[in-house]
Amino acid sequence: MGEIFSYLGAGFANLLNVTTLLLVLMGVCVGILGGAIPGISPSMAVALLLPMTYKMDPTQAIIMLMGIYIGANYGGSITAVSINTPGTPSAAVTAFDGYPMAKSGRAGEAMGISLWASTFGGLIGTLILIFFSIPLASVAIRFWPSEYFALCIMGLTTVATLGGKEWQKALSMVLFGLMLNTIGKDPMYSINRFIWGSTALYDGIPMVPILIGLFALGELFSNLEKYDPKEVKFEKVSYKLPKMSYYWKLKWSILRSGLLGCVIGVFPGAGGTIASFLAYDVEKRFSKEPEQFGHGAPAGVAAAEASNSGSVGGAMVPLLSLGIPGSSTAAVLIGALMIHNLTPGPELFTKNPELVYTLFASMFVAHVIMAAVGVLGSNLWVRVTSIPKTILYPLIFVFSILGSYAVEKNIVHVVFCLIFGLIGWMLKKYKYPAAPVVLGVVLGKLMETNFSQIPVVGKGSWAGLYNRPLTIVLFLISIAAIAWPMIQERLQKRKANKA
Amino acid sequence: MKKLSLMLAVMLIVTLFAGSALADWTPTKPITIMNYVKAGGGMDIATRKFAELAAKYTDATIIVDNKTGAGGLTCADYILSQPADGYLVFATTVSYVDTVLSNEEDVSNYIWGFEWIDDIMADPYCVIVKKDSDWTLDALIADAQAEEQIWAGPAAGGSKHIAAIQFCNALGMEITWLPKDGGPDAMMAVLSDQAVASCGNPGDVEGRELRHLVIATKEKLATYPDVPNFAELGHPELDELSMWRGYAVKAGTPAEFIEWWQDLCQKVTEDPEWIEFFNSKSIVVHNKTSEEFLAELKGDMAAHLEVLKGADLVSADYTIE
Repeated sequence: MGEIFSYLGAGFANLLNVTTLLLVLMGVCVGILGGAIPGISPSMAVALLLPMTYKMDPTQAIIMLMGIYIGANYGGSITAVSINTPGTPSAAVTAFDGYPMAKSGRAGEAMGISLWASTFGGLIGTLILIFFSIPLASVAIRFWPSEYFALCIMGLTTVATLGGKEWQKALSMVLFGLMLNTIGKDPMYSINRFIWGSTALYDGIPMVPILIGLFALGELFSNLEKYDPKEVKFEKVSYKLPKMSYYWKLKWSILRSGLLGCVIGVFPGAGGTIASFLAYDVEKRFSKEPEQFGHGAPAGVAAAEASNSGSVGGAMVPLLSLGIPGSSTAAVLIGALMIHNLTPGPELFTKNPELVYTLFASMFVAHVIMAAVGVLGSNLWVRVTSIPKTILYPLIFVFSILGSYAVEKNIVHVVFCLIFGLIGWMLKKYKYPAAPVVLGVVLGKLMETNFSQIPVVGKGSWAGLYNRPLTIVLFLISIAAIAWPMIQERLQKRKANKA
Repeated sequence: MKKLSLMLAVMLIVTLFAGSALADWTPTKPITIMNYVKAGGGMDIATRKFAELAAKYTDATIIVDNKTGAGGLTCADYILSQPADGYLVFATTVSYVDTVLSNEEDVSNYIWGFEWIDDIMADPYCVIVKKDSDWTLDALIADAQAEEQIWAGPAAGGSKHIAAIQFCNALGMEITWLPKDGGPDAMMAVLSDQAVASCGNPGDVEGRELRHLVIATKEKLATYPDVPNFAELGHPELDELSMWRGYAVKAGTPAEFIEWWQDLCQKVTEDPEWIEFFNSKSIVVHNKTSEEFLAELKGDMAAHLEVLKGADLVSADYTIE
């Protein structure tokens, strides 16, 4: 343990020069900006700046890219809160409560929560990465397809939380999301499904156009339908970020979600979006006012942001312990290490401890810088909500089109975005929740792939579903998640009857 | 006679001018190399290193860009929709060719719509197992002959799956392919004992608790001198298989550009920094131009299609003639 602290001290010392600190600052700022732009995911933001680092010193290159990764995870929440347009897939969950808060004039409060939950969630992830990466990596290595499948089932149980009393609508929407995943190549035999000869559908429908369409354009079309040019009404918006004492009441939400995000982030393929859904579900279950969720619950925003930022530290666990990236952004970081002739994995600790611990130190510094930039910036970008609708609506439309095009520079994705915009509008009109569609899309591929691989790794047997302890534990959690609210309701009814 | 002399003189002058035009041709605007892989991917790293070193030999501006999607078909569609003027170069690999074949795409468009001008490197295939396992290649073969054996790798019908089938066919073994979401995931499957082995590239073991059983190279890699090649194990034909990477341009691109580009490739691939950079990553550097590259491409296409048909991954009536 003492060795870790001394290395970490040396790591902080390495950061104490203007160039390095400026690079962290630049990384965080670029990350926030990239994350806030719909269509630029954290992995894209890191990949975009990767070529810039080819000529840099390896340590400086990696810490700048890490700054982008950290900043982008927070940046995604800015547009999610202000205009219901998640900048990153994981920020979709932030929009569930962040946007209703902004709409009801609490934009500053929502921005503040997303900033501080991201900061502390990320710091929790960093601490776990430094002190618990080895035991966590040993759990990650025990995850077989049956465990991933059980994790997906656990993720699906959150649909009950998302749907509330109208669970039938939520269920139909999650099925729609799962079915969308059947478009494109099947994960086992690479057979093309429902692609109608179009190469644009080979990889299925990408997540970003679906997200932007359902949330941003869906909301935009719905607003346009109700738009009255004569009505010039400005909602009273509170721009001020709450005082620090305000966040104290969210401490347990942030802690739980940060931990959960980090743990989920450890499993390659799971990632921040699934972590956000699970953390949101957990917080709603813990909440004394679960009915507030989806209508502007501060704990909902805190859960989403703390967990997706916590997942950054988690995704670095398998990268540093096993040489396996825990997320698509971590995969780009592996590319960056290899360009500099550095080998990702446990060898980094022995051959380049200076780089590893400077990276750890930079993660702390990046979060502090992110908080500072966020505090200064929030006052500015919260004002997006006060832009006149005649300017804001065309801007949202343009950003949506550009964002969906940016993913693969493919015009077909713009068409997908518009189609999902219309679907999002219809869902709003007929009061169907859009969030479960995202859940279905996020879980669909992971679930199908792992389900179909259970008999492969079992050499023809499905026994993995019931004879692997970790799988059983995850299934039991899922059963408890479904059963507990029913039991609770019955107990309450019994109490009421007795009274 | 006078007329003939005049004609000969004119022809000579035209030829000389044409010759000097070919030799003196220089780009008048930036050249874009378009990758179909994401930034940070194998070909992306190669292309960016190429652009960096090319600056030593030309004043031309070379831009590296990425257009991902559909295993390279999206990028190919884009390049094929642009003018054939040489200012857009396709950074391609054998994996792209396998995507075309496994999806039963029209080769007259996706393959012969391009001129294949330079193959600049080969990332050898290899068989990878867990470092602390007792596997030898003989034991692996015997095990696969006795019971079902699982190998992990990227998508079914992809280059590494095809290479694995080629290895197994030659070694008289049968395996079950466990398709994972890319190379690192496949390595995770080996580390976590979901699969016994993987067909990958030598660099895949770097930093991981993995080791090679055999590497398919004619000359043994300096980075792994103790790992045998297939020739040592009695199957020299398997050392011919490789995951090549190179450049193509849209068919109809002016010959002067192609000659200029091939000259640039020659200089870059002979650069000591280039050789050192890729050799340290266990990648074999070479420079195969038009005819040699074309013969390799045609050979790979025929062999890979046979494998894909044999594994029922493409329909029997799909042809590339």
